Amino acid sequence: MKKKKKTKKPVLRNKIRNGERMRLKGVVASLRKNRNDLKDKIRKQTDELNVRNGQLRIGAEKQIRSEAQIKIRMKEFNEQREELLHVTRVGKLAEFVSSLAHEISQPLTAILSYAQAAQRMLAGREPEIEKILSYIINDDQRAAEVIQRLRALLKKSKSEMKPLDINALINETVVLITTDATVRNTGIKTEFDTDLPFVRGDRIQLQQVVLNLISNSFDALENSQGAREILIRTSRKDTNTIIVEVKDSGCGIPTHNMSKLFTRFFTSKPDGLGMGLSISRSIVESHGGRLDVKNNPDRGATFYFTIPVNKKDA
Amino acid sequence: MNNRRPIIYVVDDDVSVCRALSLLLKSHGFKVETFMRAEDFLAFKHLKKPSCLILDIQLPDINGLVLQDAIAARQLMIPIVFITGHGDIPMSVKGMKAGAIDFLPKPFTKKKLLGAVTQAILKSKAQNKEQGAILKIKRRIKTLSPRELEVFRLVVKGMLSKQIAQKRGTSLQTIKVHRSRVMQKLQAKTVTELIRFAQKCGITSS
Repeated sequence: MKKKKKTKKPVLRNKIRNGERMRLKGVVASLRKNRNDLKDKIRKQTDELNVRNGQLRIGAEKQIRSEAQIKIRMKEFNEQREELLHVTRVGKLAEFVSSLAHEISQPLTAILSYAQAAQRMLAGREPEIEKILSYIINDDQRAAEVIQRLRALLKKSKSEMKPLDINALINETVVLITTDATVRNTGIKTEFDTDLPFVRGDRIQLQQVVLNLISNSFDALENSQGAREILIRTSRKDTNTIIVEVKDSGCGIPTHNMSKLFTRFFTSKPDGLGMGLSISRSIVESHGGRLDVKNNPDRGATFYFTIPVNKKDA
Repeated sequence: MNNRRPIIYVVDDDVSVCRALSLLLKSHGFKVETFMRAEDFLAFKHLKKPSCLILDIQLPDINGLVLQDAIAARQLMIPIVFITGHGDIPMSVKGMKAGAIDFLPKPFTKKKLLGAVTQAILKSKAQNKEQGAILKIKRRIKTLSPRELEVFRLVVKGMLSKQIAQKRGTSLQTIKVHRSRVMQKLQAKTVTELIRFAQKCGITSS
């Protein structure tokens, strides 16, 4: 029994073995294929991930870089603003001192001349009094020297005259004052003639003028009920002249103040020095232009200044 | 003689400056007139005397430099000494270019003031003398007959007697007579002098 069984078994076994082998082979082949497919997929996805990763890294770097740029720009912006405000403050102080010097030099001139006339009239008859007069003359001149030193100290720095794009200059100034405009809930609109030639001027000084006119408009709009808006317009007055207008819908200018508006020490603001418009006018005049004002037919006022076109661009 | 005493005009908007300068200048023997406004000065009837204007650059009605132009436009011929309380250099340059004698920053000593005033008076005297001479020549020219005046113009233009005779269609002899009468009436010794007279009085060939 055992033998029979033994002889039958190998055949069967072989049969089974062959079939099995074939089946296994198929399985192995398909497994191998699956494995390769998977490997491919993984490789592909890894590649994709690598690319993504790279992109993300670049993006992150870009962001870091642009943040740094923003910081730099902010710093530049603040520096420019500070510089402009500083120049304005120094300008106001210089103008103040210069006006003060003028006011004081008038009585000093009178005192000096009175004393010298008296000396002459005494003609040696009263030596004691003549001596006193000479003391008065000396002290008068001492005071004059103090004024002269002050004047020399605050002598205006030389202006740097360059060809300038007036529209760009106004835009820069508007940007510098945007924060104030937001705080005061006031809009600044511009209406530029985009086809303007260059003007010739000192950038900081002209910015000072524009800044002064805008901040005056801010004050004029302070208690305004209607829309708070400032309109800055540039246009060509004639072939050689550009005109810049700053218009507001504020309280306007009372007629009795019109003539005094540009004189030193005149101010309608409780904390004003009365220097801003006087400085602005002298800056504009030193550029060969004119600064003036008119009340609008409806409400508010328009300040306007002219400035000659840069000769080469005329 | 007293009539020739120089007169000093002071234009300054400060009462005290006007009064003090007036006292000082009077004590030095000058006749003084003061004005607070440029307009008042222009309205004043100016005397034909050696004079000088002491002028403040900043005036309430018009700027001193504008007044300088107005004075020139009226042919007043008064030498100007500017005074200013501002240390304004560009203005002073403008003023000097327009013929001002000096530019004194306030306060100034009497030495500086008198120096400038003396210089101004000298210039004024010279100007007046020149004016007088021109007036004299103009008066002489008025005595010329129309014919003589024509000959005078042509001679000044550089034409020879022969050419003038040809142009006028008259004889050379007639022109020569006219010409010698012109010289006589104008009291000119030479043709060169004649030409100088014409230039002084602004007479041209037209």
